[in-house]
Amino acid sequence: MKRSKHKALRATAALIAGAAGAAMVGGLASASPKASGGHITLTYWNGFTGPDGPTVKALVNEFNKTHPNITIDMSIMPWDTFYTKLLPALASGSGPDIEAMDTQQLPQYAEKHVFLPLNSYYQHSPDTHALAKGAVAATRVNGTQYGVPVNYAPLMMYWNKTLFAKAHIAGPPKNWSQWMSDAVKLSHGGKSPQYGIALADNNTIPVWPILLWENGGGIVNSSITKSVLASPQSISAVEQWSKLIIKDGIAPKNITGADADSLFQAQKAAMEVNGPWATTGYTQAKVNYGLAPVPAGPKRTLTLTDVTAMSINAKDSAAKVKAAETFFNFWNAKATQIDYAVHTGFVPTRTDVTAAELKKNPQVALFEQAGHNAVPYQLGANFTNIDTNTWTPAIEKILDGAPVKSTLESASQQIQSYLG
Amino acid sequence: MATRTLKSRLWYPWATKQRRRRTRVAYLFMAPSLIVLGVFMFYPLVRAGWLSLTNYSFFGASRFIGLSNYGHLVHDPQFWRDLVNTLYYAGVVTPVSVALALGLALLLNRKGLPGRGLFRAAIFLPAVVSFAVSAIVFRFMFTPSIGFLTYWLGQIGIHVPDWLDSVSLAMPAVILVGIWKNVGFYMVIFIAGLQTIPKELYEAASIDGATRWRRFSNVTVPLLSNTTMFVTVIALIASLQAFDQIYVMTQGGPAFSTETLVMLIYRQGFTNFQMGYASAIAYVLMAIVLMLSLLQLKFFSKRVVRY
Amino acid sequence: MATTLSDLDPPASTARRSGFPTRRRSGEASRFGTAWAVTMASVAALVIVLPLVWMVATSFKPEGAIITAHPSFVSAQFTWSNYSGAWSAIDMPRLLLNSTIFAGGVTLCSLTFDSLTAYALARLDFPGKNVIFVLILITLMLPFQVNLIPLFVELTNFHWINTYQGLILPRATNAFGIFFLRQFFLSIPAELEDAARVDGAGDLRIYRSVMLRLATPAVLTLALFHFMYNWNDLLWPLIISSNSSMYTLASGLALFTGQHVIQYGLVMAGSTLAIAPMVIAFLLIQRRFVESIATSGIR
Repeated sequence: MKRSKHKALRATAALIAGAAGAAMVGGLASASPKASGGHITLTYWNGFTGPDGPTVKALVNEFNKTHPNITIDMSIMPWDTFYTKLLPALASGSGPDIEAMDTQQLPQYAEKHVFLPLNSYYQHSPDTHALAKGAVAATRVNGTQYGVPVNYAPLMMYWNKTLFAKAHIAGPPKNWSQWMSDAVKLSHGGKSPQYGIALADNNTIPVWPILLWENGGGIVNSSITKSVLASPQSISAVEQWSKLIIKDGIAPKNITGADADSLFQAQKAAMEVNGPWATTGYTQAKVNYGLAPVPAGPKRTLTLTDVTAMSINAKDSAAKVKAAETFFNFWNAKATQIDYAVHTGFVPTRTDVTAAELKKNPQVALFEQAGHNAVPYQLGANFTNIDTNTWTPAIEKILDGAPVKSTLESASQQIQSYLG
Repeated sequence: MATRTLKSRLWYPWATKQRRRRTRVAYLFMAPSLIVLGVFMFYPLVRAGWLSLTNYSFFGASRFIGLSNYGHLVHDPQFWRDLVNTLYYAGVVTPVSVALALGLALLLNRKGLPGRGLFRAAIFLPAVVSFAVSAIVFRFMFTPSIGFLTYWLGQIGIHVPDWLDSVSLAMPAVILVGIWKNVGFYMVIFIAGLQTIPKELYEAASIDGATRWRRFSNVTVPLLSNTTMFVTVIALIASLQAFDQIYVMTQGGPAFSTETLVMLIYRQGFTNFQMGYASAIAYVLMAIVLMLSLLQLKFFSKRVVRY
Repeated sequence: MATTLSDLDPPASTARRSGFPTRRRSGEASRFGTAWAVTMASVAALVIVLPLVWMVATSFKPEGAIITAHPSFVSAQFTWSNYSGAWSAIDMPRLLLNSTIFAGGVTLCSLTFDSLTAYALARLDFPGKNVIFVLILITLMLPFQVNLIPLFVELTNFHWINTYQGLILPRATNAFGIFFLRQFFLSIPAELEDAARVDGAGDLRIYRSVMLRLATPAVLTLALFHFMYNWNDLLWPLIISSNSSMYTLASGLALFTGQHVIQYGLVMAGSTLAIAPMVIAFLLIQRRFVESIATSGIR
């Protein structure tokens, strides 16, 4: 008994010491530098995980070094976590001073007035006129600017030169009819099947909307007031492509973006519509690929561009806003953008960067070209309801065998009910 | 047979002074837990309960709207669809995991089994791997034509359907991963339970000439009943709250075929910002779980051996 | 089921010690039974471990060789670069320290608090016992996702975001642990407790030297669960810390999965590093299982 008493005592003491130690370390860790003597610290949240992270970190470090009065305290977290905690944090006053998010999501937040309108920044900041118009447009919600672009990524078509050569196809398709017939020629079943195209529909950069747009249809109209998903053009686009997938097996059904990338990388899919971030991986995997504009559609020639933008917390003090604007200027300065583009493959947010300045990464210039025919995927404040909760499940059902017309019609009604 | 050793009275009802002291001791023992639970569980839980009566959505004024969230829920087809998915998931995962775990525990509790520790560790391993990583690995196994499962089975002529991407097969796939992830965890609990069965009971049974089957049904089953009850209740609660692997593997898709109630709560609360409505669904789910668990506890309490 | 039933014999050592000739198997049947059991266990273990073997194998492949048309477990190009890459990409020592403090702190607090409460619920009689037990069970039944926001706001008000106490204290006790230990304490024969009481032991001593000692396998198992669960937890540390110096290993590894690009090699190498300590801990605790039975004095 005596022995065990000592043991228990020791254990208790260790426990208390441990807890006290933890609390002390915690206290130290939480004591972050506060604004004092003209020095401003800005907390900055974003989700630049993966290969983009190191470049973003290096640029922020450079800013901190060259701006002794401002410190950017950046937290990179997975986007899931970011979206889970951003709004509660902003609501409880522990949110970041600046943050970056996909402009698809921006209207849902702008509607709640958590971000500062930036119209005056755009007016008084000399450099903003050089920003790509498509990127700036993506940060505008009902005529008010809520963000400044961080990156800009038009989609292109990746095509596998080896597989094209094997199928005796000279080059990438230029229009839909070539695209479709090439996709069929490049597909075969058997022990280890091959697909003409890896076309993802969930957890992916949106590709299906491009097909709707190019056929003259879409999901919502340009002013985001009306659903056009049940329009004849939209229905015909989905009918044509879903038939090719189901009947001719040109693409696996219902795959994610990551699956599509794997298939292209393993050379089991001959084409994929994707953003500039994929180049590094495919080059490393020694895939012999080319980049081409998304083939011209029957009605339009258009691709999608993904834009991420920074915004300022509406509760920030004037001094913090000024510091944030200094950071925005740095980020979108020519030198920074060239550096960022060369390392990540993203297109510079400015239009005055020349191909010669990007020669270290010549693919960037191709994507920059593609950006001339690109629009962001904007669904307004109902983005999640329309895209994730209605449109994606509808296309999943169709590829699982549901009839196209009635499925799209009921999805369209649903979307219209969100739009009011 | 087990009752041979049992008899006890723990407290003495004739002494109220004694009884008061005992109550004080009991509450002192529980004080640290109750304080922590009170501050970090019950307070937020009550707050969430309050939210379920409002239209709280993080920003802007939140208004008391009485039971309208609950009224809305009754007519929400998403709720019923996800309830069916949840019951489907739990209805398969709970019994299969518990039975498999018990079987494996009995197998691996055998003394003198070569490499016993390694086998246990191997089967426990999935519980240690994060869901994010398991999801990547499983997606990789099932990727059409290049996943290592689809590829190698394809090479020997077995066609593996594209499980995760099919409306009817995604749920079985998610169920499989749910069982894979937890069976080792439950097995370890069963092994710990088997370890605490006093050995002299088996000895006594052997002396009495009991057969293996009789030893199992007369010693192991009743003495393991506390553990079995625990595992079954925990497994049911966990499977009714299935979220993690579904979230990372299918996000509830394709076409909501794997969306469970907790996924719906997450979607309503964190992507649609309808925190009030999400809390209402959570309270209903809690009521369902509570009801099923109490039924289970009742079922078991008739069978549990008490000393 | 048939095979498992044949494995229900009491441990061989006990039978030997009891000194009674048992009617069990001849040597040959025993060998056959063992072979059968080993086969069964091997099949189960292989099926379960297969995905993880792929994980470890992948961690030694160069990024470009991971996804191929002909997937294989071993690549011709063996490399350690994912490990050095994972090590340099994130502040591994800091993350390991945070994980240890977080998971260790929670485990220590929770084991102490859970076992005290479980003792009261299992071995003491007092008014309100059933109510408290059901209330504790209820905390197990509410999905964590709903408590998250009120809890986050509460911790913000305490100014506990980005602190160890914010990470640890909300988890300092746990309904699962209380329920788990209660079930085990219920199974401990009353004579042992009565004997201790006759010796003049109070509740604290019975808790310590009867319950905790006899339930050592259960306590160790629970310690492993607590440690493992918190070691692996991704969401909670990410929600409670917005400063990468407070991230744990699991949350740090999540940063290798980008929005559009998964760095397979780094993810797999990092995960292999993260589970290695857990596997070692499990094997150590396995050994303790056997020892604790040998010394517990239950016989």
